[in-house]
This record gives sequence, structure tokens and C-alpha cells, in this order.
Amino acid sequence: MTKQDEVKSAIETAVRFAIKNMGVDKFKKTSFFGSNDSERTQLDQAA
Amino acid sequence: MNFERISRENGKWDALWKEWDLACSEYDESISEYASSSLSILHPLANDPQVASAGVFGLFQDDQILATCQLNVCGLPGYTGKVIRLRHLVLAPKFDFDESSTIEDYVQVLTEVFAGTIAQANSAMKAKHAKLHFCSPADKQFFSDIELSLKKSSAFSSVALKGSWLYVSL
Repeated sequence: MTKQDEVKSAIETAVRFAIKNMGVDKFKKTSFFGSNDSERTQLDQAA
Repeated sequence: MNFERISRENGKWDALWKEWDLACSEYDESISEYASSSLSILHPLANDPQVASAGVFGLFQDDQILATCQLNVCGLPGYTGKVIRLRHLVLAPKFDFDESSTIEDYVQVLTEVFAGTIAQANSAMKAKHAKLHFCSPADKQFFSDIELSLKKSSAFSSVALKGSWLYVSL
């Protein structure tokens, strides 16, 4: 396994862990990093 | 999936704009209102003459562009070695408007973008550290768990969460 493979594997494990901890249903309903809805949340909070 | 530079020069920014404009219209949405604060920053960066130390990147799968973001690398106070920063990550409209995207899709996109950033730090945009910016307070718990998991691996020499940034050292 190359160092980049190790990095990618660690990141994938971390992403799965974070989604699992948040709960799949909540993850799909909430705003999250990278989603357009995340911006909408910011705009809503600023309003 | 491929994580690569997007610019007007290589024609990929125009491709993104056309693809995402069409995708938005399929859901009766307008690209002019889609992730406008991030895309308005990425747009001039992609259109300007390209520099090696900064640019807009995209995640490609076949003929689809699944995500885009800004990367830049520079020296920052308090760091030994350069720092690559990921900001303004935006996922394709289908993730926002369509119910068909699965959790596995999100896992793959986020993994490929994060890992692609680290790959840039090890190649064209040499850096010893990486910082990932998250967009809203709602992301903080998500990144706290990312931090917790990454700290258990030996992939990075250090991992920390500070303010609205996840820091890793290669």
C-alpha cells in the first residue's frame, strides 16, 4: 500500500465514521460541508 | 474518479458551467442561485490566467463533474513548510436536488476530494500541511468526528480542529 493509498483509506474511514455518528437520516436532511444547502443555512442564519 | 484543475484555459470550467446549468434547469432551479457565494469566488479564479500555487479543482467521473473547490498553497505564519488550503467545496446540483444520491456517493466524493487535495500537496502544489475549511457551524460536529478518526490512523503526523478548519500535517 502506498502512502497515498494509506491517506485515502484513512480519509474514507473517517468520512464513514463521521456520517455514521451523525446518523444517516440526519446527514441526508441537514446541511453539510460542500452542499448548496450549507450555504443556504449560512444565509438563513445571517438573515 | 479524477481530481484535476478546472480552468477556462483547459475548457473544463465552461464544461462545468454548462453541465451544472443544465442540471439545475432539470430541477426548475437556476445556476445563478446555486451555491452562489462559493461559485462567485470560483468563477473568476477559473477564468483568470492560471498560476501553479492556486486554482479551481474538480472531481470528475466519466463525463460528469461531481464537485469543485478552490485550492491554494502558500507559506503561513506558525508553519514550517507550505500549507495547502481547500475552500469553497461545492457538490454538483444532483446532490442537492435529487433524491437518488446515496450515502456511498457522498462518502466517495468527500474521500476523493480530500485525498485529491493531499495528492496535490505531494505533487504539483508541494505542501507539508493541509487545511480544510468547513462552511457552516453545522459542519463542526461532522469534522470533529473526522478529526477523531484520523487521529487513530498513522496517515498524518498530526490532526487538529481549530475554528472552522481541519488541520493535518503530512
